[in-house]
Amino acid sequence: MAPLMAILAGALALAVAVLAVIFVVVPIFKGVGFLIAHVFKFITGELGDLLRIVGAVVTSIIFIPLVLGTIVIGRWSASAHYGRAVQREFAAAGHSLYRVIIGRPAQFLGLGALTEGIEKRVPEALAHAPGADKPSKRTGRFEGYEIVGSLPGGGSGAKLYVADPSPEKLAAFARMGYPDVTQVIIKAFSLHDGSSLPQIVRESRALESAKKMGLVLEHELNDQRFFYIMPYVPGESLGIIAHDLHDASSPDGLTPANLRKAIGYVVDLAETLERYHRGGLWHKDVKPDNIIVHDNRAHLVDLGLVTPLRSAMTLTTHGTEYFRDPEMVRMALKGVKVHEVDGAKFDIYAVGAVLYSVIENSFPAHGGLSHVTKRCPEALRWIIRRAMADYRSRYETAADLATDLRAIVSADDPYAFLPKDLPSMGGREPEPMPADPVPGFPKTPAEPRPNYAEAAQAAAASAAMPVEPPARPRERVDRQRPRLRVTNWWTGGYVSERADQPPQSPRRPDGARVAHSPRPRPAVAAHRAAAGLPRKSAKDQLKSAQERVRAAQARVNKRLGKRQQFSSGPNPGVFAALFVFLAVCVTGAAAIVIKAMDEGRSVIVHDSDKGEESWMAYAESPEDDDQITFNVGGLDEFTLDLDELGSDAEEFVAQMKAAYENMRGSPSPAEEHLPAFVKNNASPLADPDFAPDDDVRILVLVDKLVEQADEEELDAMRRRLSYASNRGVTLLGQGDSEEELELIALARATIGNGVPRDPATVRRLQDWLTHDAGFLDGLVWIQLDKKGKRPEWHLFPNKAGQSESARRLMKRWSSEDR
Amino acid sequence: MLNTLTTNFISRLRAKDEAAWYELWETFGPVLRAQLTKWGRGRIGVETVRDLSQETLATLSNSIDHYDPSRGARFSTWLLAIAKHVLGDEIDRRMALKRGGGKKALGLDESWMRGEKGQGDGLSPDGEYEAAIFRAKVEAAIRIVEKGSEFMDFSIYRMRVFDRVPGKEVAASLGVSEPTVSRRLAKVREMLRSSLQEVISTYSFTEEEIEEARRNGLDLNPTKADDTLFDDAIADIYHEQVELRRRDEANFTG
Repeated sequence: MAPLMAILAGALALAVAVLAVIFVVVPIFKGVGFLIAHVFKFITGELGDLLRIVGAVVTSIIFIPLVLGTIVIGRWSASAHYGRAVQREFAAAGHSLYRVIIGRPAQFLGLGALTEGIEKRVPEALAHAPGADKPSKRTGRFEGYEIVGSLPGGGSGAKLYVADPSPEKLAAFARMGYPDVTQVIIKAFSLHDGSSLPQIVRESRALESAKKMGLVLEHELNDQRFFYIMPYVPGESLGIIAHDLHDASSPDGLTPANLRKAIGYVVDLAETLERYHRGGLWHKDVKPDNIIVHDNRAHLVDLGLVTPLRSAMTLTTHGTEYFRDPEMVRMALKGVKVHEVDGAKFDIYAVGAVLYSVIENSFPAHGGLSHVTKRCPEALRWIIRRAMADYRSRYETAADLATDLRAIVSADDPYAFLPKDLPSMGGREPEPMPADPVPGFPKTPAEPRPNYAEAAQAAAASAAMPVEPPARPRERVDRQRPRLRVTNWWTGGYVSERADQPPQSPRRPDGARVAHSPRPRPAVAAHRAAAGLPRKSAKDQLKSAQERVRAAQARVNKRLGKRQQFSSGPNPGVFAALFVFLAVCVTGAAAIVIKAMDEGRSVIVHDSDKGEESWMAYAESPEDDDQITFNVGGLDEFTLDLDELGSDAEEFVAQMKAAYENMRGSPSPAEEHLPAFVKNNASPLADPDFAPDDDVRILVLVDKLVEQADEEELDAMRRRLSYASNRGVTLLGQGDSEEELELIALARATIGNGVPRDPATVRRLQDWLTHDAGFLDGLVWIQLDKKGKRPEWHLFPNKAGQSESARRLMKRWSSEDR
Repeated sequence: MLNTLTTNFISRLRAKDEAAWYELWETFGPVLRAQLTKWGRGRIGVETVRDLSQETLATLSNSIDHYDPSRGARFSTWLLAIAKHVLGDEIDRRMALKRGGGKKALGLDESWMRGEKGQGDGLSPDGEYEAAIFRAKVEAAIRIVEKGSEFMDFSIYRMRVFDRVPGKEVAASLGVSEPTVSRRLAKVREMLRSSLQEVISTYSFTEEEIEEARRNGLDLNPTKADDTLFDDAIADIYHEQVELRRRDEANFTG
């Protein structure tokens, strides 16, 4: 029975153990594993953010000299540009700091964050730096525009200037139906400035169509240069905006709010392209760099490659890699003509590529097969694929694409939105978004997309015919042009007439009929003429135009609030760069002073009477290199001669430092701690350290060769001799009196051909000092050392009658010589 | 044994058909750049790699008339030999500039064209390179199918195979039935097999190259059971190509 019980108990224990392992140990290990992973993730994230901060600081340090350099050479636009770059670096550092402090889940660990700014942002900023602020003399001036800055030129070979139009120009734009325009871009090609004729021809290809759409306001073409004027759109490129959106989101992908924002920009892009296509144009260079985000709206810029959809020319391979449909390149290489394909579909491919790059923060390197790796609604993936699909399967129009995108934006949960819910797949159409005209595009009522053949004819006609005024955004009945009736085909005479007016027949003062060219007259003037009113003088017309412009600008400002304009002036980034530069200068100066203090070049004394620290510095006098001036804060100032101080200088400074150390901890006045010679404004030679109490005489023999020693060594030798002579020691052999010359001659005779270390010579000198020169306390024989660099001192004290002072002096010299 | 397609492609290249050259560049450009980067071992920059890859095709265009597939060499091997020659020439030129001497440019080693040379003399083409060339061929086939198939069909295949979304979810997402998903999947798979055969015939010139597909799990005359293996192999190759393109793009754009 007992064995059975034991077996049962064992089995039970085993079962309990197994259950314990399954339900206790495994969860505990899982929990520990989760904890470790969580901590590891946090630490790696923190490190990554810290590295990013360091990288941003290092990058800012690189930018700051560029800001200062461009300020010095007067390139304000470039300085503003670099200033903005500094601003971005500071913003990036701020973001990272926030993540570090708040504990946001960290992203990656690696040196990539450290070098990101240097490898990526610096070359990018350098590559996109604007050129000169003003056009060269060869390019010439632009009548009616004041240049306020410049922009990077891009690959077209043109120069881009930002300009303020004159009031007359603004009035003209207002009359054309563009009262919102306040600043313009001038894209200028000059044959003298490196532009080529093919570039000019390519740029001017779709100019007339672009003017009709309001993309181009004015242009000029002559045999030397070509330029055209476009409305200026301030803001950052979509590439930078997308980068920022990803920075503010998690590494997995955009947050729902940022996703909506990003899709919104692409909706703007698609709608803009739809207008291009309706206008019979094909942009051909759609990419994030050509999309400017301003006031939360995306604006398509750069008309460099715009082409009429029905052009008879052969397709070219122009465009930007990754955003250019490879199929277009194949067709171009086969020699396909533009009108044989639907160029709008190539723009749609580019929209898909832009959408991919915004979602993925990267380039669609794999074309239509590019894989979306970031978190993204399945319906959006579908839209990207369809936009970048084969030419035949692609969206028919940009409007269809925009409708699908709007459906995702307007969904409650974009991530739950499925492809089957898209309008293009039979899903519900989204609510139309509120109409908000894009600057540069007069909002026209929805109209069907024109037949391409008609568009081609219109484009061809526009190239040959005079410019017609563009479509007005608002209907103005009272400005209808009067109907003209030709009265004389031979002379060209005509009369204008309106239904409600009797026919008028304008005549010249001399009574002859006016022969008009077919050029249309301004609507107001025509109306006044039709109404029989006298024509206003040019001055009055100008005044009236200026008033209208001011009123239009006031309306625009009221509607848009304070609108951001191009500014080449200093921005926060420039100020930050200057601040950092000044801070570095101040810190450097402080470091130099502190270093000087460490080297004993200055001493701080505490003036307790004034309750503040003051400087006591010494410096070489500018007038006399040997003079030094002591300036004690709140105390007296006095000057000493370096030659006088001799080898005491270091000792003096040491005394001053010791005095300072005493002062720091003492409440008593500073004067009490100063050395006596400072307090008494006396010479430090009053120091009783060495004061001969009797008449000391020493003969100094200096060999001729000593003059070849190093200058510093000679100075040291002279200081040591002057130290003694300043203290009352009589040094013989330095003057040229007969007695001294005789004494030297005797000493030389005693030495003969001997050398200082020769015992016989030493003995002879000692005998001479003892028996023949008893009045001397000693003899100093200075020779050049074997290396020929320094004077070597050989001391021979007079053993018979040396005084205590002489003994001390010779001992001191002996120790100094060692 | 050569087929018509092969002959046609080589003829197009010899006739300086720009579309054929672009096709070649599109298909093998990334592989070539990856190989040059690998050989360069950091001594040559990204821009130089780009220049050298273009130089390789330029040299190929000059020597394409000398290419004789009947001698047994793979076209990819020939391309590799030219790339190596171009790179070696560049390195020699740099060294010559450093030394100040004028070293004569290397002659193109046509012994690469003989298939047997690569077997035992240490000059055998890089195995990884050959695998990359094969993947590039598969990618070209996928592109052909993407162009030739219905958008919906290819999207289903893409979601199901490349993105590895379960068939049920694909059906729910697109609002179609599961049998429809299976049917369209099979349709694209068949097209893919067919285009793979076409591509391999276009860019492969030896029996051994033609056998390459089967060795890589892409049996062109399969049984029903091979479909899953086929899809898996295609998906793996697709993702490797995505990674190759990503690296290529990252090198170029920084």
